[in-house]
Amino acid sequence: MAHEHAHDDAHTHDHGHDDHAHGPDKGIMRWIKTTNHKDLGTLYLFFSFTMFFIGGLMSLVIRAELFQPGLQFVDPELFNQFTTMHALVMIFGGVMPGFVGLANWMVPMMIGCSDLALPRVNNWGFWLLPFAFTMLLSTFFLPGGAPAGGWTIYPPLVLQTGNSFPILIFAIHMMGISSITGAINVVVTILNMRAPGMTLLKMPLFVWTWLITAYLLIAVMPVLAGAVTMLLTDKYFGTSFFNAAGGGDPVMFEHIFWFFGHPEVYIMILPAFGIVSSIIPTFARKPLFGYASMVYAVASIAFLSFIVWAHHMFTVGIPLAGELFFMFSTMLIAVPTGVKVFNWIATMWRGSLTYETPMLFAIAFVFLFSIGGFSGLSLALAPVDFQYHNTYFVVAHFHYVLVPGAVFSIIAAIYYWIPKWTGRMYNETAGKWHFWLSAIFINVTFFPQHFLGLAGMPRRIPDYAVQFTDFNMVSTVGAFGFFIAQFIFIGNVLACCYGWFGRTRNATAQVWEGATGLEWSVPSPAPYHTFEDPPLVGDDGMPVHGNAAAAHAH
Amino acid sequence: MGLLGTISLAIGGFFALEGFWPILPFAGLELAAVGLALAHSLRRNAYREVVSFEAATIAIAFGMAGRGAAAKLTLSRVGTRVVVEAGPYRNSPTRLCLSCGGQSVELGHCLTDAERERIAVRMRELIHPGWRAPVRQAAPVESWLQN
Repeated sequence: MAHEHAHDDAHTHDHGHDDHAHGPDKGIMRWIKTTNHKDLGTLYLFFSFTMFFIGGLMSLVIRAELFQPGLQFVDPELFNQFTTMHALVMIFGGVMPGFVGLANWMVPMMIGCSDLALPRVNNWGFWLLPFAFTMLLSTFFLPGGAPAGGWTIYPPLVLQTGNSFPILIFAIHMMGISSITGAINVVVTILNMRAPGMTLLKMPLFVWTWLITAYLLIAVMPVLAGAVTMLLTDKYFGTSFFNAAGGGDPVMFEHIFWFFGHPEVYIMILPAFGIVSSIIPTFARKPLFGYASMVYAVASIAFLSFIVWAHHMFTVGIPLAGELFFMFSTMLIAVPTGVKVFNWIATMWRGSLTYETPMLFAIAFVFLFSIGGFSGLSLALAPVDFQYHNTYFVVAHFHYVLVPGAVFSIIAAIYYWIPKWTGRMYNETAGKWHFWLSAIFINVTFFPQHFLGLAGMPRRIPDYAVQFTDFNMVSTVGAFGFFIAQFIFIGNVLACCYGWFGRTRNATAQVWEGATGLEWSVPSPAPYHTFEDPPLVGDDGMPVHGNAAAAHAH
Repeated sequence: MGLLGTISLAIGGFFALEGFWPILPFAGLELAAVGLALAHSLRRNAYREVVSFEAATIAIAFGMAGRGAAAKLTLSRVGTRVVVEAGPYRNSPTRLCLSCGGQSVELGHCLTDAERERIAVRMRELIHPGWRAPVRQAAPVESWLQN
């Protein structure tokens, strides 16, 4: 549209204005109505840590019960409810919203756009979660208690659940809708709203990993939705999808569930790869080694996640050819994972390393996640899995992947980006205390569980044979120590948020000496609206026309 | 989108063939949501409203970037008023309208309330050059405070 009087034109869509004074609304309605990606990122993160706290309390009940053989605190039925709900709360309430919160905060700032593509959908997606988890947690108070059949909700066991069953299914649907809205928003934002010059292969690894994660979510969530709906119709509407008496196949539920469940495992770890790939180059003061190979490795892992699901069910009696296929395809995942670990180490090699708290957590991630990866390789071997299946070895494996893996990466990300979010630097000494206590206690908690599993202790039992007592005691001490250590983190984060203990807003725009990327070009704390005028991104991934902090300055 | 649709429908289709058909409608629903979101975002990104101020008239053009103006409107510069009015409900967004005689056209519905306010101020300045927004000044210090 040609118009001659450029200086007299008012473009109401491509608005360019220098005044960013308009901030958030005041009071509670700010948080209920907000469509701002930073507000929603904060809400997601607070929600995630609330769920981590609740799920953590459940794990303490479980570990307290397992401190000694015999029944001390809870009866077996309640114990099963706690194991089931602990998993559901941690996976769907803790880890996934944690990563969505980080994506909300960082993806728009990393690709140079003002907000996510669908802000109202973003608001809706978040506010589904508190209702879903309130409903789910309220089942503890129903007759028959909470679901107790394990987070994998295998029929026919789960169909014996009482009044909480339909609520469980409804809550899972709500969590699924929330995940899908987040995934759609991420995909649309990354594909349509990148700043000029921000080509796909210039995007930060965190953005890449989230794009691939979002695709995984969109591909597998309908499988979960369909599976739980079929459970519902089997229980209440007389269908027989998984009912052998009616011609159905309960083993098929396991196939369907793990066709969702294994990609879900990667949904919970791929963003962690992106976070670590952002942190290590910053504190090594070197560009990430093998950027393109990292992108291809993440894409390969995502592809392989679709063809390995039956390694979770070697013992159900699948044909030998099937076992061989799933065994080798699972082992194949070690190749792209090895590429990533090699690249992280190569990035640190001869770098100018410093060990601030985010870097400590990132290095611990690489080391401890690799331990989880190696125990995963052991479980991938079908003949070995026959021995390990349903033992504490499996519990140790997935907790090594999820806690020092996913959770450590979320913690590292918060330490790394909180000066950008709040403008206040966290307390480094407290951060280091938090790290060392967490790293020690997490190993005290979960490493002995390998030995318990190898010795034959089954999982999901409230009582056990006396020869397992010592390692269980050690594990319980570790769990309590890890939980208590997290209060240092909570205090440190809240001090940054609210300026406690004399914390002042003195963080610079770049924050870390070796940090590069668009998010470090805006002031700290990041203004309520960033990149309303998209920056032109240069070859180095930074704005071409100087530091955007100047443009955002009032 | 093609790749995602192929994968998702292939998964849903396979399970449907095996008798587990409820997965397929969920996949379809979700793909529809993804497609809708992509299309909506593309359309919204391309939408433009261009207001040009001539000596005696104001020309308003609506359309999609690259496709030219889909609709045009010309108002008299002298007789045009810029109005920011409250929405129909307490929490509704405000409406920015240009009114001239019996005509009224809404602009900037994709902006925030604060952005509409600023656009309105700027338009009033352009329509009637004598009109200027009041300059915000710090509140004067009350003399009794100093006594």
